[in-house]
Amino acid sequence: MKKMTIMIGGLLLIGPMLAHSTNHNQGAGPRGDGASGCGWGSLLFDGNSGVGAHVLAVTTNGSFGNNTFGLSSGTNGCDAEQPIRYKGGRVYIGANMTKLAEDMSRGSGETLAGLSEVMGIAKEDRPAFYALVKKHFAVIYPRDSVTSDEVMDALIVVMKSDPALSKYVG
Amino acid sequence: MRLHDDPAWLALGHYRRNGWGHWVSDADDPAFFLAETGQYDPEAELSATLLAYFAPGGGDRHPRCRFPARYHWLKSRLDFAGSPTSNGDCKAFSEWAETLKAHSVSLIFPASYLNSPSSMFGHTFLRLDLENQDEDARLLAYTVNYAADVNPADNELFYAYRGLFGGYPGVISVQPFYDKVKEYSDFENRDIWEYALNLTPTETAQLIRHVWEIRPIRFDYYFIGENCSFRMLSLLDVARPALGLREKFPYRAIPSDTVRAIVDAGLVDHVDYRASAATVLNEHTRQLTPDQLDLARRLAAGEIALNSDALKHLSASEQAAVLEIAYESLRYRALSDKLPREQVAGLSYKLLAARSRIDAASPLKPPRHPSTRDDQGHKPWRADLGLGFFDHKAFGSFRLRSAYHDLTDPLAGYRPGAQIKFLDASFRYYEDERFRVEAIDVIDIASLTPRTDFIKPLSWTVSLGARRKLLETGRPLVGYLDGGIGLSYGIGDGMIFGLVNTALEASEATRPGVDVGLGTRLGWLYQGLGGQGLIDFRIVCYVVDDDHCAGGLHLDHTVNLGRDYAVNLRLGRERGENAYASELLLSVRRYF
Repeated sequence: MKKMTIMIGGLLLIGPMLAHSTNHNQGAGPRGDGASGCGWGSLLFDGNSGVGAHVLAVTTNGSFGNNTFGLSSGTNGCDAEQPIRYKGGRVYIGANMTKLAEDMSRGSGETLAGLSEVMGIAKEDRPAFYALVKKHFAVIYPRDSVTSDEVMDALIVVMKSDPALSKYVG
Repeated sequence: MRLHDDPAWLALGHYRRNGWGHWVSDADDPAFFLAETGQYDPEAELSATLLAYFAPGGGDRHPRCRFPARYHWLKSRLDFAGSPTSNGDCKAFSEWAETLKAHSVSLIFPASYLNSPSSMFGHTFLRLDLENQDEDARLLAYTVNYAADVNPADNELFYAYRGLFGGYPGVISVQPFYDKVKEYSDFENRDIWEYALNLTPTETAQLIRHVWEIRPIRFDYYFIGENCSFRMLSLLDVARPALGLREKFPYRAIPSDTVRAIVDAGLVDHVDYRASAATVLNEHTRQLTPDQLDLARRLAAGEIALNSDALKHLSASEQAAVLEIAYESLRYRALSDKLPREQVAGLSYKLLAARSRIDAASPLKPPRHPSTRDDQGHKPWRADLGLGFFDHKAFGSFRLRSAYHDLTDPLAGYRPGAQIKFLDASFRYYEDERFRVEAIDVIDIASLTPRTDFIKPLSWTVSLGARRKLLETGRPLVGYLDGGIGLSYGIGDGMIFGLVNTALEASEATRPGVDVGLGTRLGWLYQGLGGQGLIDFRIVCYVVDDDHCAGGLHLDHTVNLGRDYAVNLRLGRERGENAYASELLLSVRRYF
């Protein structure tokens, strides 16, 4: 449960700071969903721009400096040396905000499966987890301008209220 | 064999023989070498490495920790007894390797994508798979990616130049697979092939050690030769030196070719397929009735409300399908048209929220695994031998193309309507003993993508080269630059297209020297009769040299004979300046 400890620790530290932050867009990079998992407060449906740059990048299999640099040097507020799976769900949600919303609305999908993996949810509890997030979609994602931190906080609240799943956010 | 000639050492140092037979390392960074002459001297580098390993001290900065793969290999070959033989004090490396938890390796190959023929060159990178990794965890695995560190401020010409001739540093990055999936599946709409390799955990561990060694090292990036795919081959050579994959690609490494080499080397355990967002959307739309599709389209356009009766009359499962497709198409449009967030966020959110309220599992089935993988298509080189008539004169024809795929080449493993040709030259020897260059295409790209209710791309072409121009006085060779833009629509297995064309031509033999043409092009690309073909009608009117329109109607049909051979028939009637000519050409094509 080491990862959950870290996750909850992160929640305690960062949650209050963001609670009265009005700039929900901080950390969300030009490539959307919090550029390569480094954003803490990425915005749902962000990242529609910056695709044109990609088309260019493709032709020489290029990748743009900032991203590569950020990941290899630990800038951009993310630390490449620290794989995501040890930072719990918060970073994962930040990096996958939009795909995750789609999967949660259906109660299925690979991105949602990845989240349950990150949160250490046992295989036998996953169907219940998927059903829970679908049922409470409008609580977890309450509006179109929700940020990843709010999603994580709401997810924890929803899971705590479920007898079978509360153990994962204990 | 001397130790410094061992393929494992040469792979670890990225040494290759240059044109003069001397060893040179691909690493362009003094930080990679412990000997002064290390880039050119594997033997000196090996001696210097051994000396450095036995230097006093320890910790992360010690050469034992800086170069753990070399250390591991040397230790397996030499007796390190009685000396500081452990690199167990490499804290940073150990933590890094521990967090990656790599147990095996997959080669990831994002295929070419709709409306971007240049992506046919593709890209490859490695995914570091976990032990017992199942589908649920696949997105969480890490990837090792090698890419040019491009300055986004560079203009495209500069970019192309530096990509071809060097100037961009290539950088190794380690990123979660989900970020790469987002990039390729969602943003670029490229299907992804995942080749699980049979590297053992021991071989994988050595690969990881070597990634640590080269991670901060600069390798100059060359689009054709030393590109992403070549670098991945060099990593696999380190993991299993007997493979010798690098030697198979001395000059150019087209990603699909490198995938073929990896398959041929027996490295592949099994292959998985991951459909892109556009492929998923296209497949999903086939599963709805026309009425449901229209409903989805109107919902995505915001033309009707989510509480409309038309939706409510459907069963729960049908409502789920309609809402899912409406969302997918809106998301597709937001990304491909780069719509501002404010324009789509509200409706996108409402579609998701409405979907979540419907108590039904998604009834939509995912796309099937295509029957032919991208690496199973024909190879990029092509040679043609043919016989024909032009304007009643017989000729023999020879044609050679360097890469990659023509609209009339065997389609398996390629995208319909996508063409990219590099250096395609054809020569003719006429019966009156005249040898003639018929055409040299430097580059010839066509991107014909059918429009649907949900996906509405433009089709376009661009080409540059030299070709024959039919005039009253003869058929001089003229340099040309052509561009076209228009629309395509699918019919059956094929498509029809209409383009507006411009042509810029230059020649000493024509009167104005430089001419500009405007015209149209209509075509039908079809599949059938043992292969595929194109019926192509063009007309172009020149604006500098007045009063002169030219054009032609051609049929190009190819019968596929397995993967490596095809037979092509070309029939045409051409009109030039006060001149007409007919053409017939039958040729055999070989792909290699």
